[in-house]
Amino acid sequence: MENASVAIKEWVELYTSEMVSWAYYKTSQQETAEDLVQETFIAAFQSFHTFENKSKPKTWLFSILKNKIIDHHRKCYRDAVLPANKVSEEYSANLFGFLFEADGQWKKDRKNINWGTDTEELLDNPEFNVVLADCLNRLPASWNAAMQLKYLQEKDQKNICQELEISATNYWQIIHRAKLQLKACLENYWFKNE
Amino acid sequence: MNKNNPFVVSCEKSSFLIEKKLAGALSMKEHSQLFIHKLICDVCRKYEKQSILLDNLLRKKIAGNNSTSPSANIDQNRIEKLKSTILGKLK
Repeated sequence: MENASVAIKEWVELYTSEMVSWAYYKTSQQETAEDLVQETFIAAFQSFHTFENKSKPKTWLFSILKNKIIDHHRKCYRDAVLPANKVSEEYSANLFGFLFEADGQWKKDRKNINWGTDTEELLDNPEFNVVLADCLNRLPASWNAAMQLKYLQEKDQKNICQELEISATNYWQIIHRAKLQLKACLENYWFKNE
Repeated sequence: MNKNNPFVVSCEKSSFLIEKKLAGALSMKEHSQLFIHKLICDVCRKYEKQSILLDNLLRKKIAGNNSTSPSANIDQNRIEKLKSTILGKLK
């Protein structure tokens, strides 16, 4: 345990700052980020014997942290007041009513909004990053968590459905609605002036 | 819109099918429905591009190793405090 203690104390000094800022970027909550980093170091301390010098300490720590972040989003999904497939019908109806006519056609004002051409570089733009993070946070908590898990894990759909305990149809509905709402949000706060 | 033809779908349905398509989960019938709809609907063709772009942006944002964000101006005092809390727990 002596070795573990010495090594990990050094890592705490070296990597805490970077780990917190990474976890903050992934969770949008500073306190959560700090808690997850703390848990990561405790887990690393307890399982130090499994650390092999083949991988770099930083890589090892970040892989533990990534799993903590995934666990955090799972917990958000489970603890959401409204389960993802039961986010009120009213809420979903409002979203569809905002984007579509009663017969299911796109509303006229949606047809003319263009996203421009230099869109792939958008994430390098810090202001866009803030808007996208805001839009994700405006989603119902369970939808946001489902999206985080979808992209963090890149698991196939069957695995995610099992993990979230929903049917495939429900899963598609959630992703579909979440993406539509992100589109509406981005068109409100970012693409409106294009 | 011909409601009796099973291959004619609305934009709302078509936007749902686009989501499924991105994950390679369309059935043959859905594939045809989407294909036919896109032939006649430029807004859904546009939405498909937007949806793919959004996918790429979200993948980069959520899964990427990026951690630079202006809102991530982490207070160094808090970091120092956190470090000593962690060190305290490692004993």
